[in-house]
Amino acid sequence: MMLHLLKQVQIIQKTGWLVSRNFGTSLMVKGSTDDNNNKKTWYYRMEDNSKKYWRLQSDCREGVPESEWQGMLHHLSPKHGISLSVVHALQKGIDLRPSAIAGWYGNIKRKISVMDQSFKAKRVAALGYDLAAAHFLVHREGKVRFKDAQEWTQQDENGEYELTGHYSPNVFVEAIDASGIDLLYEGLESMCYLNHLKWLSVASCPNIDDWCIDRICCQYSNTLEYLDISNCVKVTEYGIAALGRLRKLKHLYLNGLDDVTNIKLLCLLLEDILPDLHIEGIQYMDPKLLHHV
Amino acid sequence: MFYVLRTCSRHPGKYRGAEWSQVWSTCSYGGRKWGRRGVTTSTRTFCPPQESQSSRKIQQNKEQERENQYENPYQSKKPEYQRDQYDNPWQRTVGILSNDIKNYFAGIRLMFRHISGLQGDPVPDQVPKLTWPSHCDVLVVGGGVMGSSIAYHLKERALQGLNVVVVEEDSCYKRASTGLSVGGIRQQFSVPENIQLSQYGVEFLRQSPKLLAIEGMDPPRVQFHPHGYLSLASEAGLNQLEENYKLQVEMGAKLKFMHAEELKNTFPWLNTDGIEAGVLGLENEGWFDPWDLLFSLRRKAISLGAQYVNGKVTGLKCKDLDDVILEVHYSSPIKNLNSAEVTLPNGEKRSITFAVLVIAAGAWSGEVGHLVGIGDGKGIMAVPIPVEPRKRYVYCVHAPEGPGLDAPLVIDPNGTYFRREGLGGLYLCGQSPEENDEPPIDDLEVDETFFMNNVWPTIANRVPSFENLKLKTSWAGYYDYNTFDQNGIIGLHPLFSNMFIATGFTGHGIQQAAGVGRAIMECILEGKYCTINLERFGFERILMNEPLFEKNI
Repeated sequence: MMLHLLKQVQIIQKTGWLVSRNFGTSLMVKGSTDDNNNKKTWYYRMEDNSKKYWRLQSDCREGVPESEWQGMLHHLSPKHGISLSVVHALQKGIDLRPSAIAGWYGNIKRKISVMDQSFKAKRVAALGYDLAAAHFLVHREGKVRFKDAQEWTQQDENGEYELTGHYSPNVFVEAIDASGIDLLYEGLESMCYLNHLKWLSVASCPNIDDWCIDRICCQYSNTLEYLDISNCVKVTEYGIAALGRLRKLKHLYLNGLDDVTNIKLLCLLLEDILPDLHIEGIQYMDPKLLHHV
Repeated sequence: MFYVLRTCSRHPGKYRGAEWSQVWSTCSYGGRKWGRRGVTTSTRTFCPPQESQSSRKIQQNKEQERENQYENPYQSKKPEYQRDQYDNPWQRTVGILSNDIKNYFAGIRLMFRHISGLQGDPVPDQVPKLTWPSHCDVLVVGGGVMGSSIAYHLKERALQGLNVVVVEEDSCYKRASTGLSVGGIRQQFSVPENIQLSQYGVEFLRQSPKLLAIEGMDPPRVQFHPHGYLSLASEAGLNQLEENYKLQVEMGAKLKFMHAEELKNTFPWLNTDGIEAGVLGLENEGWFDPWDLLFSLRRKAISLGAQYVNGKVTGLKCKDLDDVILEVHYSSPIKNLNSAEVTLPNGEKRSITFAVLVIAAGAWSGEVGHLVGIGDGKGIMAVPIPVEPRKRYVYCVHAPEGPGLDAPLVIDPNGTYFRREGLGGLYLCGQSPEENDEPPIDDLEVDETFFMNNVWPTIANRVPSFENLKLKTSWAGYYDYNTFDQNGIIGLHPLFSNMFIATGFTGHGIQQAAGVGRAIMECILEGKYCTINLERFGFERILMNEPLFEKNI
């Protein structure tokens, strides 16, 4: 309780009274940043409140010297004036339409999932790239298969899974099935430097778009042999054209992507460049035409 | 209340009871929340519709309107109706306020009509006529991608706190460098700040569907082709390439250094004679559609409240701040710009008073500097803004046997580049000519002999299948060429207290537009660079003769 009060006073002193009203929401929840835990926790980040202001010291209302008497309200008076973010928030206005509230809530959820899926250096430092990616995916209900293993590592009905919590040098991820996860662009960064990845499925992930395809092509260009991007509706023709960068690609699944412009031409051109490529999910011609033959 | 307003105006007889009752009838529907929604609430954009007058007057006014409708959008009607330009300040105030109220209800009426389906597209009589922005906070000279990015970032941060006006000479952007550019984006630079600007540019493009989205309209589609850049180096440039590569990887770019054999294996269509090594961009490099970026930025800035004025800045007035003197060779006072004279397309001249000026005029920024005397003075004022237009050609060729789908944007050691365009075997290519061989800049005519003599031999040598190609079309555009060191000039001018310069990018402006827009916004609103420190790009480097060259291979 005392610590809490002290922290309040510290925050008020540092940031000025206008911002200190956020102190309740900006404290970190204890011990929630590790993804090694099986607990699913979420947290708010404390903002960097120690920004420097461009106004000189003499501009501030700290004119009362230290030896003089200062009232309690002296600590509550704003030292730096109103900050730009506060003015911005005041001007934006309060939009109480249901669609706007839904949009606001969706924004918050998206920010949380971006923070959740972004690259965590501590995880990689503890586990190495392959195991870190495995933990990342399996914790979020994905499936991972290691090299020289027969079964997929995934969560069972109780949400538990078996994965070593320590780095071991010869463990390589060979196949990833991320079709149950809502994988984001930042999430792909957590699966970086997988030098033996041959099989990848991001089917039905709604947020996979051209930029994610760019990232996939960058990270797995030397080794990927099987890619499944079925039903990723945000992928456009430019992303599919870029798949020619995956030099070893042998199987490509494009189910549900019939709306992409020039998809059939793109598939033919891809098969020209990548000789072993076999594409599934695209009908080059309407089978009803064959009935008349 | 409205009756009182009517009698205060100069011509009480003009306003009939019918109009008064119409205003009352919409009052009962009116409510703040409706006004906020679909219709833009900027009170300066709508004029009252014509149906509020009697039919005879409508006829007369319609004829007059047809005359001067498209000539000058700021001249609304006969002088009696320009209530915001009376001399008497009381009448002017009352006129402006009553204009605002009328426009508010006219907007609501228009919205109701639209909802109930009574009318489809707005009739030209009811198209909003703009009022002239005689005062503003920030005046941006130039409405290309740089000016639009500055306007967007300013409005997005300050919302209604800043009144931003962008003066653009040509709303069709026929000569603007933005639309005529090839649209590439890369992180392969040798100046770290350039790399950071490009990285932010890519992130901005990725998030542009959310950032530049407007309710009720299609989101922007920047059409990013993630194919990467391939910079090739001969033996002479190998060391420089390695140095640049190390810096770029340190700054976080994802690149791959390949020697000649690896290049040959990865790109079988490439002829690696004379090539020692190359750097291929693996992520966040490629090309996109600059038109879409320009129009999305412009549209979003307008929706946030920026106003685009169709005109050309032909004069700038400044006053000396006598209490501060800068002593160099010649003592010259610090100046404060206060107003700009804008020439409208019909020849009329009007003035805008501003607090901050931003010069983002692209290739013509040197001319804008001359308007205020930068370059025709003594001491610091003797140094002009060293930006001038330089013509560059882009050729579109058809090569059916060409590199194919996976070709990156290839840059030859002598500066020639080519990239794939579409799926039908078309390629765009070009080259920067030698210093003493610069084409004339009077018009945008294309010289095909340059292609035959310079570009084709190089690309045919580099890619043998380009030997039998056919030149389909070509165009020319201006680089905003910085004659000093071919890198951007960003920041305040030392002798002016409120003039920012954001120009001189010499061909890589489109990729740095988002970053520079944000940097200028930070300078204006917070007084310093917060995210990317662009102090080295200031105008001071020209005064101190310390060029910031891109170390090309």
